Amino acid sequence: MKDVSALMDGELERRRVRSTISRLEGQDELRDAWATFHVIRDALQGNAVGSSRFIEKFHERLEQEPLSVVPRWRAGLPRARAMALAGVAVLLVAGMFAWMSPGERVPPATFVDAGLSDSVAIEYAMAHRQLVPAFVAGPPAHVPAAPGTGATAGSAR
Amino acid sequence: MKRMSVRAAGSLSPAVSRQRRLVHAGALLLLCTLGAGTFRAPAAAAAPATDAQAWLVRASAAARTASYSGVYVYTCAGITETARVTRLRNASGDAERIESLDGTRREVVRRGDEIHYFFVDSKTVRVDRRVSGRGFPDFLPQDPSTLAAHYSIEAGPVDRAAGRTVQVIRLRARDGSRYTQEIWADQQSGLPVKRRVIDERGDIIEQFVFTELTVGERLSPRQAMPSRRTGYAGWTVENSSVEEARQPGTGPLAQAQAKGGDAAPAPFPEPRMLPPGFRKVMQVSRTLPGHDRPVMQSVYSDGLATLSVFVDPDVARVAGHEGISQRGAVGVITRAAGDRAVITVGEVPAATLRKVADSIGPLASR
Repeated sequence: MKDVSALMDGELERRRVRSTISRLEGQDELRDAWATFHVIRDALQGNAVGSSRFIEKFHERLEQEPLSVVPRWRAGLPRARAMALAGVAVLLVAGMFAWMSPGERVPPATFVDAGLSDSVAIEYAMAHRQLVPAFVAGPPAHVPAAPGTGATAGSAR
Repeated sequence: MKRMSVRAAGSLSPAVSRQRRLVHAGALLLLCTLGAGTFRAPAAAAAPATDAQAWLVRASAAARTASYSGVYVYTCAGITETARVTRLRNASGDAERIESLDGTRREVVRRGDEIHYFFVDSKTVRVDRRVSGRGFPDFLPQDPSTLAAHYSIEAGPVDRAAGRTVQVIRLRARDGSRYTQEIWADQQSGLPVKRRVIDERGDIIEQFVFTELTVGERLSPRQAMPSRRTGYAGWTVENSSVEEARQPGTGPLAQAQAKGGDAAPAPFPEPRMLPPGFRKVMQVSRTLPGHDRPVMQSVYSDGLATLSVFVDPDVARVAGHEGISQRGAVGVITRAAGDRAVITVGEVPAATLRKVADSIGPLASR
């Protein structure tokens, strides 16, 4: 897995590139991981894949693979359009899809409204639900994580 | 940027070892549960509370460790949504895909801590880092015995759901400040396959139910991958501002959220009244979509029910929109406090939410 990210960053030693590639070809999971890393990096940079020809070739190859999940981001993509997405803000929590397109699917009458606009209610309801389930899988309340070592506590999911 | 990608990549390795630990822990829990059951008489009509507790432990462990794929239906206040969810956990990590089956086409793919939201109709993909990402069926605390103080936990009848034999577990609220919940746990795997939230009048105000479910083996990694593999020309990538914690807070997970963040703690106007058993579990500073400035959010919970208090520096967001809204189990109260907005949200009865909201502040002037 470490090799995969090094490969992505063009930092992998030449002699290990070949063996990593053949491992990628042979292992679905590793290849998927590679593809996912790549998507993430592209997206984080808001950019098309870097100039490395090697990466490009690899990219093309992955696309031909039946399991490839590498989208080809257009070069010079527009920057984030936060406002455009405000009404369909994001969530992962199951059940929250229902909150995402209120105008389309939710009859206004379902919200017992006392002056609060649906858009404001939905915005914060979604923000709440996006976050709240996190603590539940944490360690029991009486086992406090030591400050500074809390990183493992959050992983107890 | 390079550093960023390295971090993204590196985040999988802790996930791997964490996964192994969880698998072990889960297996151990499962063994304990099964072992205990072997020597116990078959559950009578009125099963002892310990059986209900054992079921909760098993359901909680299964929800945190099992791989599954299925279709669930969510119903809340007259809204119905259907989605296909696949969750895979193995030695190489943790992946999940949720795809909406009605309304606009939306798809969420998570691998490790990286989340991609695909909005197919608007050709937009949003990239985010996971903050929590838990939901049905993974909603029980790791140690469900903590719930007994505020819920009367009973084993109900054996039932059927998603074509499977299931055990009903009822968590009856011991007071009116929270809702009663019912859980249907798969007898074979322990996985919760159905969950209901019931209000004080006995009405079902929120429900999840799997209509079909496959647990365990025979799941392919491609089921947790984006359905669209190519053809992203013309799509927009939106990089979400990464949500970060500014203050460790009091909860263990909040401290986890704060890893690497050593900014000065932000003052938070704590509510003076919380329902019995509720404690602060997290405080974060996060930028919501469409907002210029981050909002502060504190989360309080009794282990099952939750509520959040937001402090938004932009009072204009709620000016003219102050009030209370209730949709199914979720209530929202907004009010202006000086030049800031305070928003209280939670899956608790409106009266509880109101008490909490009214007890916040006054806010220190900035």
